[in-house]
Amino acid sequence: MTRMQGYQLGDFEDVDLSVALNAELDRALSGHLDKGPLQEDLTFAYWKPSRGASRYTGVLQRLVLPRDGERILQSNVAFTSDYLTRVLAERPADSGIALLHSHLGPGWQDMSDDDVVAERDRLGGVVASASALPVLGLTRGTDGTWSARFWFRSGRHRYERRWARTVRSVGRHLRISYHPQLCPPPPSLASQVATISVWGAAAQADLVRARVGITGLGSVGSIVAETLSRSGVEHLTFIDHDRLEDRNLDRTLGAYSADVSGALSKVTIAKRLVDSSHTSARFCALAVDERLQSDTGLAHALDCDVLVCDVDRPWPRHVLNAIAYSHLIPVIDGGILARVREDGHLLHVDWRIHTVGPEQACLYCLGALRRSDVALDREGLLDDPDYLKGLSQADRERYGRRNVFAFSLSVASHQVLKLVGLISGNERVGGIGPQTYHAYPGVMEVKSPEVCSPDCDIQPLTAFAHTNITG
Amino acid sequence: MTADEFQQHLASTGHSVESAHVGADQYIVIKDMTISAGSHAGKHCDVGILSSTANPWVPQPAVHVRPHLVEMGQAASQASALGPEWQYLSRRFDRPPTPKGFLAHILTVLGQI
Repeated sequence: MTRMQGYQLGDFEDVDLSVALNAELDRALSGHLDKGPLQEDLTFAYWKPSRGASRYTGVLQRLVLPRDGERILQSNVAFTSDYLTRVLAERPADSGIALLHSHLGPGWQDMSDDDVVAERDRLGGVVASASALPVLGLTRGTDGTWSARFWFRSGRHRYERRWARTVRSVGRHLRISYHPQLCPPPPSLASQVATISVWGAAAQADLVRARVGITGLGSVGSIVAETLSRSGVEHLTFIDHDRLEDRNLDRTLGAYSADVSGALSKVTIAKRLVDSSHTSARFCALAVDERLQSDTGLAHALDCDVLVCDVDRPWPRHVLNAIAYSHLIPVIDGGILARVREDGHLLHVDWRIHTVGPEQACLYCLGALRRSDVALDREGLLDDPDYLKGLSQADRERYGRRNVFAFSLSVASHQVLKLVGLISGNERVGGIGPQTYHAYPGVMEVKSPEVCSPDCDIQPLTAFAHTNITG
Repeated sequence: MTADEFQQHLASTGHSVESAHVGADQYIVIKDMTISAGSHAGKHCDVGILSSTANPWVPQPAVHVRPHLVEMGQAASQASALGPEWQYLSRRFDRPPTPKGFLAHILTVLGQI
């Protein structure tokens, strides 16, 4: 299978294209490329391919800044052959080559004839034959908006441009630049007037065009799905392999007794729910009836701009944690812990909500996931009643998954607000850091934004676009 | 850490390593490890660790040992998937795994028996 492999145009037909970079790299690029109102600049960079089910993303990994004499600055800018030779020679294995340059205007940038000659004619063939990947070109506008395109081989000595639909800068804020034709702003709709009156039309336009994946369509996930569809989000992907059971009926939105007898999947129920409740003019919900850890489940997750984690099993949560850094797809995670005595007496309930990804602490460093639990889950021991019987009371509580609908409503609400804050950059909506709600006495504890510990093994995955996350 | 990096560390610290397969599962088998502390100090045993190609590798904290070091059922021990001559010691390991740190975990498990 050659789809999305190599650089031949035929292998990328009907593929959605995107570029992702972490915010730290974006700031470094801003510092290098912004030379004032009269001078453009450029740099090369290395990137890794991230292949989803229908999206191909160039994940920018590191810059190869020009040395003195390696580019010609004359209001516009050009790279020298020596610079290109060095970039080709230093290219890490499995990495592509990107050319990034600045323009002197705001917004999504088109290309000048000189830009086309540089990327298509000077780089197209030489980069593709050296790296076996297409040339990636990016342009930065004066307002920080990125535009991007890949150059695919369509014939002998012929390379054709395909525009990326989005460029995603990922840090504490997920800043998405949208191609104005491939992904135009949404029409103004009477059904979203109240929402827009709160966070504004610009934030709404950014939010509704983001591709949001929800993993786990049980109690919390089903509510998140409904909330996002009513808020106008246009593309939702649901990933879950579970079927509805009687025990789910007291806390799964949109689920009915007949669905249990019909053995309906949770993703089918969620899709049915949002297909009838959404407020978007161009809505698409995709139901992926697979485990996240499967090849298909993982590929669909890699199609998303942001993921909402509503699975409680440690292994898929580990996979999402790794995706957040390796593939630059931030994850909004939520969890509920209800402590109940063996005689059934409720002791305490907490729930917590946090965002993980570049510039934020990972699930391990937040204490929201334990490596031993991941290993047990992978080994299948969390499904072994004999093994569970031998665990301590505290461990059994952690795996107990006790929950009621009202807890889920609260977690889902805060997850959506975190998502809006992440995409709009508005901390007045999403808050400033990880949140933990203590049902008694009834307080929301807010931590300052945190980063990973120095010895964390997840943060170093950033922008490597690893393919073997699930093992 | 990847399983390869852990194996490289084992080799660089003088340990002899083999592979074992049980169905689709692959194990790293560290041959003839010396138990340096505890009730078995000075004895030797083989140690099995479930491997994976995942990156990052989340190593299974449980340690498989051959021969049995405790009476089965004691000290969180149980039957091992590697076979009857092996014993599974259920343990936790929640620190960021590094080759050095995970080897220290194995030595600690053996030393605490």
